[in-house]
Amino acid sequence: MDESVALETTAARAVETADRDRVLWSDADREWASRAAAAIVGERASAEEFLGRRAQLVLERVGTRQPAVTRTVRGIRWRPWVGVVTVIAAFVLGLLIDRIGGGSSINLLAPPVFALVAWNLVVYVWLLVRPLVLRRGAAGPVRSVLIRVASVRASGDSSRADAATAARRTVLAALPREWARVAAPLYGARAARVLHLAAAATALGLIAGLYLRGLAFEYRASWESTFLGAEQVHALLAVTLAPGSWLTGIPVPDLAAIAAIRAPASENAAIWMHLMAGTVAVVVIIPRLVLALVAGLVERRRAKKVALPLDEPYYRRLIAGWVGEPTRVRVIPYSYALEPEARAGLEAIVARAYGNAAATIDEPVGWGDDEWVRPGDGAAETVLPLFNLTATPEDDAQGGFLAASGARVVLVDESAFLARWGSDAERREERRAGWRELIEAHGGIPVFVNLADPDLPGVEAELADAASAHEGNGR
Amino acid sequence: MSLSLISHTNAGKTTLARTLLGRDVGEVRDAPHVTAEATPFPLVQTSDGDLLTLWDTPGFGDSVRLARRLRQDRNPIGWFLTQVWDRYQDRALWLSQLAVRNVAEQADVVLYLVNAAEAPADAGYLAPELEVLEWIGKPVLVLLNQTGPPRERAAEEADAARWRAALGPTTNVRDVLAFDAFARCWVQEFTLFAAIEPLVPDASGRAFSRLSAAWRDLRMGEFDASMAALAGPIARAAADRVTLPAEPLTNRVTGSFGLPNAARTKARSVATDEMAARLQADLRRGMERLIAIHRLEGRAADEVLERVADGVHLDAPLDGTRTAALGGVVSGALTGLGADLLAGGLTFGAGMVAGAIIGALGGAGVAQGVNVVRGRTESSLRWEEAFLDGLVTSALLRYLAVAHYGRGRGAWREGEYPAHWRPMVVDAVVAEQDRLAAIWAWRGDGEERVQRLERELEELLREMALGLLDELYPGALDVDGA
Repeated sequence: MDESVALETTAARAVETADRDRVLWSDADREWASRAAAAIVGERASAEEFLGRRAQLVLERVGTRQPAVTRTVRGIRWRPWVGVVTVIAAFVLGLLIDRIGGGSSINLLAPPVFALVAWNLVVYVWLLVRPLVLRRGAAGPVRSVLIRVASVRASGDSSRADAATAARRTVLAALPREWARVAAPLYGARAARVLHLAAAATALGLIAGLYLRGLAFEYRASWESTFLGAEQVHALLAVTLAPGSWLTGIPVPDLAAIAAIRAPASENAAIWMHLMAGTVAVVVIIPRLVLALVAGLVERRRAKKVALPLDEPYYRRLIAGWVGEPTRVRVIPYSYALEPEARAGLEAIVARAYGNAAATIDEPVGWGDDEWVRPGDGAAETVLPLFNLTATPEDDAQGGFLAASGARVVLVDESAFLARWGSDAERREERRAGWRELIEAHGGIPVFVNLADPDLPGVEAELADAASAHEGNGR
Repeated sequence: MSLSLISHTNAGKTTLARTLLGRDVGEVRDAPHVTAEATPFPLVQTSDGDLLTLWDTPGFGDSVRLARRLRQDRNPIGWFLTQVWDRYQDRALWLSQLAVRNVAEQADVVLYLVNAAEAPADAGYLAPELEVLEWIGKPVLVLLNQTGPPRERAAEEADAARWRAALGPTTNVRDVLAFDAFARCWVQEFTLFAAIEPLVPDASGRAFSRLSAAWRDLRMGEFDASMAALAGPIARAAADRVTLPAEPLTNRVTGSFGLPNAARTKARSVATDEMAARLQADLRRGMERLIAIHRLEGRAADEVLERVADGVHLDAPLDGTRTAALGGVVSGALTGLGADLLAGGLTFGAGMVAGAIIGALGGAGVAQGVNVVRGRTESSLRWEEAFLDGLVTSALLRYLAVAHYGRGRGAWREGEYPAHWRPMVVDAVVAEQDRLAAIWAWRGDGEERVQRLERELEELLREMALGLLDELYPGALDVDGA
């Protein structure tokens, strides 16, 4: 799915999930969109095509009623001019950086050229180390800033939507967050491309500035140092200017020449400037351009194939409805025999969150049953472990089961706990924290529900969040 | 004599030990395996040198495996060999072994706690743990913990019946008692002692009777002290009076025509404020005393006060002239309570009492929250009787709240007390209306009359409180004929 379709699909998801009370977008609208999209794409189409087409229909129809939604979707796209401006600004910065040692003399030991080279070397090392430090895909601070400027506006239009209903506001607030999550890998590559180009532009600007000024003034080269003698300086310059010497074919001046220009003596700086420019080209400009090219290729590939979290209940429900095959949801209670009303609540939750899902509620797994094995999943199915909040979360018992089930989203029923300690919020929070800790330790996300009296829209949203949060982390 | 508290992990053993001991022993946290060693605590002692010790033990962790291991290896020496290994490899199992060892070596009677909030069928650890207890062979008393705030008797009994049925025909489980560490009441402890008595080995039977009596004395002593703490402030309020400044003759004449008079209204409101402030300070002192008697954390004071904040409600079918005034008292009290809550709950009492007075004035059209007593030369102000009745109701509710507040967890909060208490208390007060009226009649000058009033009030409160406790826990108070 390409970038713009993915954005539309995500926007449609935001409209349909954030509008819990179905004010903006009714059940009839939902059905219409599915039916119309199915008719347009035909049976042979892929699930993604169907979703994309359906999203367009959703946005068209909702856009006529709520122009703010369309505005937000438009406003959230990547703004290419930000990249262009960044690169131009970097070039101008490069032009201005240089006053090279003040006026018209170059102190060979302290020109900003060396700082630029050193900085870029540091960046290269960081690029190598980064995957180890930050986990996959996380954007560094600079990239994050750029991404924020160039794309996602934090709830951009909400101030303009003065007469907006609460429903519309939540839709508009949810969308940028969702899109940021879905598009993170793509935007990461895009920001990397822009930043590499900007770095190259800065270096280019620096060299250009040097030569431009060289036309009008005479730069004189010299050096001075409290600690270093001519020999050390020679060694130092031989190493640092080696790339430039290699590129331009100009040898680094020898020891005697260097000793001769110790301050206050000096010489015309043309040779040194060529060497420096060559060094910058080799160390900064060329590698950065290569990196930008690589990032650009990655970006193109990612822009063509944005991966949506299709595992989420929302997408599963749509796809299942389209294919005509119900999603399979399997609830496995752990040492918890459901009362009839809790069972009814559970069924209502699954029906709402997974659409026409065929829910099976397994027989409870026995407490401490360490021979329990996950049922073989021939078809794709969502496994939802279910615990009772009244039980104490123990790593030896429930933890083992969680590890074996490999489930991501975990239900914890609070109905029995609330029946006893309904008024004691502190106590419930403490118990919840215990469960959260255990479940998260096993890579799951807990969703706390009151099966006796479930808040259906709330649970639906939480289940969706839990599933997509997992997608976000797992990538 | 030793009792061992044992259970699946996190059922609340340490919490219960704290409640029984009235001390913050051990560590309490809502997590498994918080207590890591068996610790003895002296529970009660007699002058004859008998000592009852309560052992708090680590919980059973991996009981399924523990039972399996016991089945394989019936020799306790076997554990000792593996213990060092388990200690680091398998903490849950190791802690379970410690608990078993403690029970096997120390206990005369085992108190086995279960989490009553869970359905017995869901407590998968129950069967293996009972198997382990069976293997140990000591008599077992099952206590239903975590039952939640006090509920109607029927609900409590249904719980007990459910667990009794689930525990089935285990030979060494002798009885099932509801006993919540957070909301137990001391009279239930008598039931507990009575239930333990037949399980005690014959040799210690005598000693246990003495210990049981000592415990009873201790708790009854606390009860009597509590009644005194409750009666004091009410008696003093009954006797309290403020002399109003003398008024010129003209004012008295216009006043008798019912004409409004700013100076008089002001004088009265100053006087009522003064009385309200005294009463509030006195009530607070009494409350702190009550809390201290029940060995609760001082910190709990404000919480408990909050819980009784609506204690002045008196929705009783009293006689006609009073009802109007009381309607006012109730609505006024609520207004005052609102003001208290606005002020962060810190002014509890003052606002409420003042509100009650304002309400009474407004509700009845005449000053019935306070009475004006006309002497020959001067008038004075004192609390109206219906208001004093209201204080009795609130005192009893407050008492029940404190008596059910287990020390178990200092930070435990409860929103309000159970709905079924208030009608019960109001009925009790209404039933004793005549006696109350007789007691209020002792108001008047003279230290002696005041003392008489306090004595009688204390006695009446005692009777009423015992009656209420008996209604909540039938038979608990006279389990062994006291």
